[in-house]
Amino acid sequence: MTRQRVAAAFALVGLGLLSWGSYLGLWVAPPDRYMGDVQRIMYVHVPTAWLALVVFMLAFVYALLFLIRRTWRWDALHEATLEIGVLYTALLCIQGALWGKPTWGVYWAWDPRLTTVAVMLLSFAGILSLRHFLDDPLRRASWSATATILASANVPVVYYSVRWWNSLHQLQSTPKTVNSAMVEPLRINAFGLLALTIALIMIRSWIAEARRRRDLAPPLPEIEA
Amino acid sequence: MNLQPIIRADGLCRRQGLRWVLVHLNFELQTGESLLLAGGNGAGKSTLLRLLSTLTPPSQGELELFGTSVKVNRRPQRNRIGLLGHTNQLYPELTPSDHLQLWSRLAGMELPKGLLDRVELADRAHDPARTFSAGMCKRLALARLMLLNPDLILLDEPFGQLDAQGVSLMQEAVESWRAQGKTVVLATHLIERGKPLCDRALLLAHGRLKWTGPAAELSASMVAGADS
Amino acid sequence: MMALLHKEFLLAWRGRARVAASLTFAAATLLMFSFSAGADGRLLQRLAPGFLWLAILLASTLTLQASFDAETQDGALDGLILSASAASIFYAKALTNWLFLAALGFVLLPLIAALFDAQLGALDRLMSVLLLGTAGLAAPGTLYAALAGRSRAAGLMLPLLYFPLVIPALVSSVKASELAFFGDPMNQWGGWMSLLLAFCLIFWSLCGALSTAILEDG
Repeated sequence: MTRQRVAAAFALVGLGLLSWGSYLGLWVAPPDRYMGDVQRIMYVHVPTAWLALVVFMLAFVYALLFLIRRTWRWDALHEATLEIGVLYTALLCIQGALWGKPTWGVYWAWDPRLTTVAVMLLSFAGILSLRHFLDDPLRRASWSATATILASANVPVVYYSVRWWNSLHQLQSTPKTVNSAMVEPLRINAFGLLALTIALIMIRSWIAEARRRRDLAPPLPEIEA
Repeated sequence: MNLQPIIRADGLCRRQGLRWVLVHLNFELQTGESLLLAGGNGAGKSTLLRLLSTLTPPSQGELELFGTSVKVNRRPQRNRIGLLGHTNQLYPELTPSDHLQLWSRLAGMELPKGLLDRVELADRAHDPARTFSAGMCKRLALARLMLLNPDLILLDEPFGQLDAQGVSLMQEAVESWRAQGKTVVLATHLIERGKPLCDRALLLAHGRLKWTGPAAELSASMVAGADS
Repeated sequence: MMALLHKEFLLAWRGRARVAASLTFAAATLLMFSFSAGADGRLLQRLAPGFLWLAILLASTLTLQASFDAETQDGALDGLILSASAASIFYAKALTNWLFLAALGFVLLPLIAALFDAQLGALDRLMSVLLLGTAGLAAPGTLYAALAGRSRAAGLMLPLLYFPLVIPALVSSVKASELAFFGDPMNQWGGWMSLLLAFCLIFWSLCGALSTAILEDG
C-alpha cells in the first residue's frame, strides 16, 4: 500500500468513526443530569483535549529525535505536529468557552487544566512564530526543536503548579464515573479523531518534506572538461 | 614522519540558508605548506575559512583536519586552530590586557611578556577596545594568534584596515609562522600581497574550485576571468 | 569556566551605565503599575508582589538581551566557541544574569515598601524568593537571549518564547512573595518554594544541555 493510500484510509476511518460517534452522542446518548443537552459538546471536547496532548507529546518526541539524528524527516514531522497541535488547542479553547458560558457562567477560568492549556497554546504558537522568522532550514529545525523540548518540559510543571489552586474544572472523568451510554460515543469519537489526526500529520509532514527537498537540493558537480 | 595532510576536503559543500555557497571542493594541504585562497567577493573564501576553523560544519561532503573528520569530536582540533576572521572577536568594553588575560586563561597558557609590544599596542594596554581604530583592533586580534600559537592558522583578509606598519607586522608574523613549520591559509583579494607569503594557491569563484597550483603562477587576470 | 565568569563580571562592571538604566526602567514600570491600579491603598498593598515580579520580568528582557549584544557585536562569540564549550559559555552568562536580576530585586524592595506600603518583615523569606525566582528566570532567559541575539527579529523573539516558558516560575514567585509579605497562616511556603526549586533544577540542566544547539552554527 502506498503511503497516500494509508493516509487516505486513516482519514476515511477517522471521519467515519467521528460521524458515528457524533450521531450517537448527539441523538442516542441521554442528556446529562445536571447540564442537560449542553453537555453533549463533551463528545467533541474531550477527544480534542486528549488528541492535543498526544500530538504535543509527539512533537516533543520528534524534536528530540531531530536533535539526536539530524534527519529532515523528523523536522517535517515536528513541524506537522506543532501546527496540528496548536490548531487543536485553539479549537479546545473555543469549545471550552462555548461549554463554559452556559454551565459556569464564564468563558474562562484559571484552574490547572485551563491554565496549562493557555500556556501550551502560547508557548507552541510562539515556536511556530519562531519557525517563520528563521530562514535557514537547519537553524530553523534545531532551534525550534530546542524550544519544543523546553516548552514540553514546562507542561507538567505548569499543571502541577496550578493544582495548588482550587479547581473549577470537572474532576477527571474516567469511564467509570460516566454513564456507560455516554462512554461509547466518547470512545468512538476519540478513536475517530485519532485516526483523522494520524492522516493529517502524515499529509502535513509530506508537505514539509517536499518543501525541504525542493529548497535544499545541491547543485551538481561540474564536469571536468 | 607524518605524511597525512593537515587538511583534506572531499566533495565539501556548504549551504547558507537556501543558497549553496561552497560546492564540491576537493583539495589537500600538507603540514607546513601555506595556501593562498583567492577569488572575488562572494566567492566563498570566508565561508571556507569558517569551515576549516570548525566553527561551521559542512552541509555535505567530507572535511578532515589533522587526520580526523570534523564530524567527530571537534575539541582537540579546535585547540590547534587559530582564526583571524573579518570580525576581530573583541569585547568593546574590555582593554587589551583584559583580552589577553581572558584568552590565555581560556587556553590554559601562561601569558608571555611583551606581546603587546610586538603588535605596538603597549601604550594603549589599559584602554577599552571601543576607543581603538579598526587597524588597532586587528593588531589586537593578531596578538591573540601570537599568544595561542596554533598549528593551523587561518587568516581572512588580514591586510584590510592596516596601515603600512601594520601590514609589515602581519607579513613578519606570517613569515615567522612559516619558519616554525606551521600551516597557514591566507584568504585575500590582494593577491600581490599574498603571493610572496604562500607556497600554493586555490582560486574560488561562485563557491567552486576553479584552479589550484603554485602561488607564483596565479595572476590577476586569472582571478578576474574566473568570476565571469 | 572561572575565566569566563571573570570576563562576565568585568563586562558587567564596565557596563555600569546599563545597570542604572535597568534599575530606572524597573522603577518606572513599578510607578506605572501603581498609577494604573488607582489610589486604593489596600488594593495596592495586595498587588505589590505581583507588580514586583512583573517589573523584574520586564526589566529582565532588557538585561538578557544586552548580555548577548557584547558577544555578537564583534564576533566575540566565535572566539569563545573555539576555546570553550557551549555549556560553560551558557552557564557563565546565566549565572551572571541571575546575580544581576537578584540584585535588581533586592534594590526594588525598598521602593516596593514605599510605593505600596508593603511590610518587609519576613526579609529572609523575601531574599530567598528573590534568589530562587530570579534563578528561574535567568536560565531560560539567557538561552532565549542567545537565540534572539543570533536571529533577525531579535526584539520579538525573546519575549515571545521566554514569557510563556517562565509562567510557573513567575506564579510561584508571586505566591511565595505574597506569603512573605502578608504572612503564611496555612503554611504553604514550603510548597511554592519546592516548586520553584524544581523548576530551577529542571530548566538549568535542560538549558545547559541544549546550549550547544543554539550557540554553535548549524
